[in-house]
Amino acid sequence: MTTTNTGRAAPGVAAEPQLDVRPKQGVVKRVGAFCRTKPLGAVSAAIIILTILTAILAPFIAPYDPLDLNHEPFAAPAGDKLLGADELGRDVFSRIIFGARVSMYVGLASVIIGISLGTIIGIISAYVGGIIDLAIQRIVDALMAFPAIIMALGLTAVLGSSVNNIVAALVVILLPGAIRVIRAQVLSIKELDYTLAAEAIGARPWRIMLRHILPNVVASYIVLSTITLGLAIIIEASLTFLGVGISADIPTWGGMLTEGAQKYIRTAWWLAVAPGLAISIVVFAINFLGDALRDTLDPRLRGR
Amino acid sequence: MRQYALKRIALIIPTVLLVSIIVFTVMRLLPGDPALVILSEGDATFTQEELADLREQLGTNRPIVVQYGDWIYGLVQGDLGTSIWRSGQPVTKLVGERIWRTLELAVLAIIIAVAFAVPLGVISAIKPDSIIDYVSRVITLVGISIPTFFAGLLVVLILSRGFGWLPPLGYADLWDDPWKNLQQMFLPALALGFYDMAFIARVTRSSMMEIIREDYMRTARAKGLAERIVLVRHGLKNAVLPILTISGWQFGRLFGGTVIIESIFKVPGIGTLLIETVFQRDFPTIQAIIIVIAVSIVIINLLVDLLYGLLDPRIRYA
Repeated sequence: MTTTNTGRAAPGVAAEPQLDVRPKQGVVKRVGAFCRTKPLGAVSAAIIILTILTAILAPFIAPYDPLDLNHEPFAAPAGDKLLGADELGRDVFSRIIFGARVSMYVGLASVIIGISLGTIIGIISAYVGGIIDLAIQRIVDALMAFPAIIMALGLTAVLGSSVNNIVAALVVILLPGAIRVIRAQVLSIKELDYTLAAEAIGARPWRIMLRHILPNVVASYIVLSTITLGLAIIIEASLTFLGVGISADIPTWGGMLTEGAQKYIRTAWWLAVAPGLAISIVVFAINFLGDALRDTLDPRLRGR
Repeated sequence: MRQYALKRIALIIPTVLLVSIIVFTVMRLLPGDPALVILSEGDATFTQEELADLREQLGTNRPIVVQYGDWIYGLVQGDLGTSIWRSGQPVTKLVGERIWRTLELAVLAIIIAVAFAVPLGVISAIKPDSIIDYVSRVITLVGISIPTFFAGLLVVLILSRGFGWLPPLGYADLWDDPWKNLQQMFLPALALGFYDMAFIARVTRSSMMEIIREDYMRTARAKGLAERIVLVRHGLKNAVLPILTISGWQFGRLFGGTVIIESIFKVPGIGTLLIETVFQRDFPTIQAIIIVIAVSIVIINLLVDLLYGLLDPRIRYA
């Protein structure tokens, strides 16, 4: 017995304090409980998983090659061409399926990198405190003054607009928000008994941050990632829509909505409505899942 | 209050300085020589003299600290630099001509958003799980999920196909032809404000829901006040604070949204200027537009904070 009942280490006991005192629950059981209490959240999760699978398996699912001219230009939606054809005769349904690849890749990559970096910086900022915290917070304040799309435009103007440069721009956009949310949480965690106890038995700062603080912000990490994924997807699509994003050779949802679709919105409405709906449904599902996950995992984030 | 205001105003100085350093640094992330990049765009040929001239014009032949100092010195005097294209026009003039249209668009959007959102949120909150509540919750969830550019296209599609109504062509300024201008600005402002309407309605609903359960609401009813007065004077007045904060934040987002909406509806504002200059890689102009927008947002946030302090005395002493 190395810890006392209250979880505080006895003075002079150098052994590791017990970390997780919650009853261990199987993953399957927890997922089952989530589906029961948040059915809409579960449906949203299914939509997102389906979209990711579609993106990965696009070449096997799409009925036509997204770049080949398979139909009459402006063919209306019908039997073998579910969503019609665009101004060149390319199959819109197949292009939507392939478009999921860019949206999902850019969204997931930027969110994973951006929120992870933000979490690390947020933990260090809050835990170390002092002048480092002050400096980081001023930079965060300054970064917050740039609207996401304006920042993205500026960065892509400088970096160029390859897929990975857009991911880099999105990382810069997502960072300040993530740093701020995680920092606020760590500020309260670091005053909690178990952190103080770990400090009292002489644990080094990096050990406290890694083993005592990090596990306690995992819930916020998951919720933040979900909520910002929608934003990342919308910004990528907006950039491509404006013509400064990903090149027109690659089928993307934003790209399908650009000038062509704008021009033909009165005659061939499906050209704009199909990709617009694809983005809206995915973002809708992400927002719904984010809300449900927040309520389940971390009610403190409510209202953010 | 004065002390609080002075403290808040003093705090924006480091923020604005950092904003300027960020903009300046980002514009110099460009790999290699910007003058070379600009001139070798496409297959254009150029002479060594042209290269040296452009370097001189951009000031990239001087040490970076001097460049930054010069730029800041100009900024403080209201000189935003000169555009590379557009025959070296001063950027201040370019931005000055267009920023009012963008502001008009943003202000109209926020007015439309608040005008719809507050009643929707309040009704939703006082009659939870009614038909109106259900409809408004669906509208607001759809509203926060639809990207601005798709909302813009949908507005055009619905009004033109469904109602056969199209805004008059050819842009008219508010001062020249107010009626034509408002007709033209209504659609873009509606599309732009849709997201904010949804967002503000959600916030209104949740803050009204909390307030309705407060003791002072019960007291107001108990002393026999009419329900309308209870809701407006005691309820809404307290719900205004979070609504105001959110509306202020949203104003910053609106600046981003105008870029997209202006390009769909062909409004010659600062957003379309930004896109044109991004295509032309006109770095001095891009840099100027971004700093103008960022500083405006810092100032708007400051005003919201001050207003907040004015309305809620608790903030000042916190």
